Amino acid sequence: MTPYKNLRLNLHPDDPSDGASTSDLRLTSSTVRSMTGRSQISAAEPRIGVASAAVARALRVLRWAVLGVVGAPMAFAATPEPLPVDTAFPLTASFVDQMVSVRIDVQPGHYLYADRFEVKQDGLPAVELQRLLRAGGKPKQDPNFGLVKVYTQAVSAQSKPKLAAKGDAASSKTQTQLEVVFQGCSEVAGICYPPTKRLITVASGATHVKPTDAQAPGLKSLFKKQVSQ
Amino acid sequence: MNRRQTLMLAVAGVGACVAGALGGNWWLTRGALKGEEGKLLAASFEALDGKTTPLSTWQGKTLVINFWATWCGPCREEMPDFVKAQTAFAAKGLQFVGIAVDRREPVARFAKELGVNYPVLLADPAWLDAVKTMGNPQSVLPFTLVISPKNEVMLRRVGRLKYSEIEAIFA
Repeated sequence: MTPYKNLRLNLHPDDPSDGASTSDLRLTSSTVRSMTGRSQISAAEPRIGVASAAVARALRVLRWAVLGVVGAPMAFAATPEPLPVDTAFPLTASFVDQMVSVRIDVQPGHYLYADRFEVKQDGLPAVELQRLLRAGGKPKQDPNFGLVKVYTQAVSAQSKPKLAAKGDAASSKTQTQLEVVFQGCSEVAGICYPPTKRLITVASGATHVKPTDAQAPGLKSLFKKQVSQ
Repeated sequence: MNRRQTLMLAVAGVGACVAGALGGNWWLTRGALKGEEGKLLAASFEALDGKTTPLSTWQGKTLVINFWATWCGPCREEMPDFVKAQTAFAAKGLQFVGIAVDRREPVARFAKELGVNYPVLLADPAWLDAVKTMGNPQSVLPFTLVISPKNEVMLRRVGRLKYSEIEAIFA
């Protein structure tokens, strides 16, 4: 009888029948479990009798390798990297016939808080646009904030400022500048983005214009506002 | 090539893949303090009682620095685990420090409601830009760094840090 007669490939570390030789594997499984949040890793349990020390060592390595190959991608896949905020919530604006339109798309697994929208046009509060953006959304019972309204899909609003209808100089603007503040989270990544401000300068007749500031212009000013519960 | 050689080659190939994956993960999640992290440990923040508090106060501890805000739901959800871990592992040298990128009033209110048993400091929002170079390129919250008593980064976590992961540090 060789000393390796009972050697076997064990992929059931939580099975007490597997004996004392599984302590190292249990550690690995625990690590994988903690990384993946999965309660159990299951796989086939082949029992391989071997005759030589070299093959036994190879199988030992293979045991670890299989766990690594299975566990590592699961660990990496369990918590996806957060998307850049402009990818998670792409913002565009249009300015046609003095009508201003704003649209924000929402990537799957993400959401925007309706009541955290703030909009300015040419430095002044864009009351109607902001009201429209805050008015929609679907109710969500948030464990932290109670009943809130969120957007999980694209949201858009359009408005023709009263000033533009008066026939004065403002009615023939060749461009307008919008400032939009929004705040959202990613359920898939388990994170929240800080309040984000974007500026869009839109020429008259232009559609689907993206923000001019790819990077946040500075977070500090946003935190002076009430963003907390 | 006989069967044994084929098996050994396959094992070597798989082993190389695993080593690459795990090594990459180690490279991304560990390392000596440098750049912004060094500045962070050298920095001081305002505590809820208004006192300026340097992070060096807890030098020599296993320091868990958690960036959070009251407007961040996932941040609030993980904090009860931190309270529990602070109680469980304080004797082993664990020290949580919450750095709230937020206003004082809601932070103080929430910390009191939850019974936070570790220091909570207030940070200027500029720190959200600084964390980009600490392993949080999108400046999202929560974001947690675990620093060893030897000033090495043991863990960088964008998103929720589980109790089991804190437990594993002291296992």
